[in-house]
Amino acid sequence: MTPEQIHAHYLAAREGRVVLSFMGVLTQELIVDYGRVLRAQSGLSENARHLLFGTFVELSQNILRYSAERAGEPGQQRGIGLVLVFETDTGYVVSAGNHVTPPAAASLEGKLAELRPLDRAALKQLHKDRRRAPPPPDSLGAGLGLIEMARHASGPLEHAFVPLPDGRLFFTLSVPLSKDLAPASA
Amino acid sequence: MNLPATDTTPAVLFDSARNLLRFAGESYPEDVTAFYHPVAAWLREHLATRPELKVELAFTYLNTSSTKALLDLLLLLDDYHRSGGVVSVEWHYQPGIEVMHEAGEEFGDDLALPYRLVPIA
Repeated sequence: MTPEQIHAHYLAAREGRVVLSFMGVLTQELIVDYGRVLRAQSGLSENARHLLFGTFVELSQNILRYSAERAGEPGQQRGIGLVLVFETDTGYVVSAGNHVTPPAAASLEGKLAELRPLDRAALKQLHKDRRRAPPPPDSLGAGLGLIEMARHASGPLEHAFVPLPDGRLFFTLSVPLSKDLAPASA
Repeated sequence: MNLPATDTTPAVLFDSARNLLRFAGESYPEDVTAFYHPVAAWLREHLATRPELKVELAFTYLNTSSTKALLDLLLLLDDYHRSGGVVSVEWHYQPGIEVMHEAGEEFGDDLALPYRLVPIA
């Protein structure tokens, strides 16, 4: 990057109120360290801080496990991707971006479409039903992460797939969260 | 059973004098099975001796795959209870973190064994 590009990057991050930005190989150590940064955020309730940390962990571990772009020795590979945390006036948005294969994109689209119409009570019930069932074949974890994020988000999860020249797709997922502060008294 | 806590896994300590198995700390390991599988194996062996057992769960955070692994452990304990074993579980949580309180309630909903939510100041 030229100095001008670095400056543009800096200005865009400041304008977007970026609290945390990482692009590269996601490792467990990195998730722990950045998680500490998020847990030290002020200006939100303790519960909201817990959800901010948890959403960051789920999205980051999804990239580590499932990103189609990987690095490292065979058997010890970690996913590559982008994780961003933005602050807004009333909350935060945690966003992730990474490469996915077309079958993974179809599977994610199906899962997210299933969650979209559900309200909080329905998401709670789905979480309860799913966690007693065996994990789906394409999931190393419990397949519960998206349900939990949808359940605790302050609005709908937003996602998109951007086609890449090699036939893969760039998947983005954004999770809005509330700061959960009591309204200021008049 | 005496595992020290790490950044991403809880301490797991069995106090044989008090028949108490306690989990305390964070749970979001990269490989959930590698952590919970040996714990489940130990628990199965221990339950085969038909002990009276108390379990304290004092997690500060559980990622979703840990939630699933923990439920599998609790279902082992529930089977023990249903077969006449004496076992009780306490879920310890910080009152300010509603999401952990709710997680505790939801584990309780899935279990028949004696189960109590305990706020920790």
